[in-house]
Amino acid sequence: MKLNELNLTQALTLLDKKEITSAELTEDCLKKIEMAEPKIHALVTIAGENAMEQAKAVDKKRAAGKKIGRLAGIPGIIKDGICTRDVRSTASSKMLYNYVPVYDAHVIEKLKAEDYVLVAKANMDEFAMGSSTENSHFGVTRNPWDMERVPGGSSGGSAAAVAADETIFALGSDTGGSVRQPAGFCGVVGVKPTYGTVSRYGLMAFASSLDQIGPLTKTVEDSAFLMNVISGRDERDSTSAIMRYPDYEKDMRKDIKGMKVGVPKEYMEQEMSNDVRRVFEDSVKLFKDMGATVETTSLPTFDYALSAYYIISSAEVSSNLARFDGIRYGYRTKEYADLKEMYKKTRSEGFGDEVKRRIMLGNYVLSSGYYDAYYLKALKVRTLIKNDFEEQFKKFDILLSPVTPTPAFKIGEKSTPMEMYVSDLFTVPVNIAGMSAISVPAGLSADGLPLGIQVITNAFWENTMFRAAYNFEQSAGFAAKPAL
Amino acid sequence: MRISIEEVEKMASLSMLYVSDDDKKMLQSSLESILSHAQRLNELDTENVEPTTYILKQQNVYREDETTDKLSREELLRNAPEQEDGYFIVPQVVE
Repeated sequence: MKLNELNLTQALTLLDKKEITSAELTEDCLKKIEMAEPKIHALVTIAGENAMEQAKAVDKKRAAGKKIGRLAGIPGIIKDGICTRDVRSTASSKMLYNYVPVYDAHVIEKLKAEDYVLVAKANMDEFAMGSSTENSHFGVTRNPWDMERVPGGSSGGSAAAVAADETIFALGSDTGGSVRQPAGFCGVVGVKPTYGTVSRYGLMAFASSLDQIGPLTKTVEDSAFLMNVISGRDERDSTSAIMRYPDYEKDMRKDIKGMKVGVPKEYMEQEMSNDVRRVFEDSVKLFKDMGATVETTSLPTFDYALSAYYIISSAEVSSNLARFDGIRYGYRTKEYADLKEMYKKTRSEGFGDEVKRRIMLGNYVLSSGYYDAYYLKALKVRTLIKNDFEEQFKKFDILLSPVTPTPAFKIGEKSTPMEMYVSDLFTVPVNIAGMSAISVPAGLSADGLPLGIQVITNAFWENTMFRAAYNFEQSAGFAAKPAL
Repeated sequence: MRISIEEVEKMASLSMLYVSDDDKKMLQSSLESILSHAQRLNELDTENVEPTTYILKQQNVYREDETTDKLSREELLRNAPEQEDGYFIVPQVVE
């Protein structure tokens, strides 16, 4: 077995026993990157030499018996919308093609404090707007399971890199499904933590009231482990939750006898592929076999979540992306007559089509005459959606659904924005309501593409989420790997 | 749901973007379809519903307003497209 194929828990065990070194582990990841990148293009920037230096430094510390962190020597890949000091961070936009942050995101400070090794920055949809990683200034990422297909998005590079064993783990960000949907398409585990659990400091803002950073890993256990590292209060993010943060691995291995599981009928009434329905029904049966009680339930506001999402997130985009003006950092147009022309040309040349569309949509729904009809209306509907979910969690411990209506679609297949948006139908409501959810591999389609299930829990119920997901993972025994 | 070319132009202007004539038509049709989909929100009665901007219950989190020197002027200027003598260069705005 190549060392890059290890999961995080296995790699840590072998490092601790001194059976392997971080240099060997990191080198195997870099070799895999060299082999796989021409095929899948999951990465924007590879930090090869730096990574080897870091790995050797950690090996020295470990050999000398010095105090080392909880991730000592573990290679990781980070979505390119998360700031990494002295390593280019572009959000896959021409606007930031040359941007080298002078500070680390909160999550990066946390990972560094535990001695992780930064291997590369992952490709994504520009500023996280997209569901396929086709909207990247640096070119599309391909799904390791089938090069004709997308890896999902917006954290498609992170998901593809984990699936291809280019890394031991990755971080992504999830605004409407951007961790869970690519995790589902690539057959890996992906977490959208409760809003407020992981600091957004240093995450390039897409929609501030919805964005959360989350891990993408090879196992549920690895995700829970990483949540213990990256979660926590940070006063630089005013929405960082003030609370006692739990041990996310606590009770994870306890069985789920008597756990109350709800399946919202509105999910199952949507158009979905036969494979998705079959794998989901098999998964529900597994939960029953493990002693959970499963009941059909109803989320009457389900059908409204996607519209509310596109109005709210675009409104926030139009404010958040106003900062890109070609003055302090990033791209600036070459020729201009005055300040206004400089702004306009810089932004027109620097942003891609989808980003421009959302900025304009956001300005429309926020403009006078439309504010009440669209933006305020969407915020009120958001309250109804949130109430709907909260009602469910008076009766149920978890809700279950498929992650996506179909397996990974083909590159270029979605020709209109609405067609693309619908691929987030099952993941968006969780962000609107601020709940936590995890995507876990559950089975394969007839064509051999991975499919996932989504475990949804109430805000701050991650312990229940990880317990359900861990038990499911153990009994589903999904072990398929892409032939890359 | 109809959006006029003039409205597309107004949005582009508010967004500080230039949009070509072809792109205006493309944007007109995609924005119409997104906003048409959003009409369904009107099926819900929200008469006595409070809007939710953030899902967390905590509000008004304060911290001390303290100056720090974590980043030097040099570092802050490192990514500037144009700079001189420790300042960002912008096009002339005052005659």
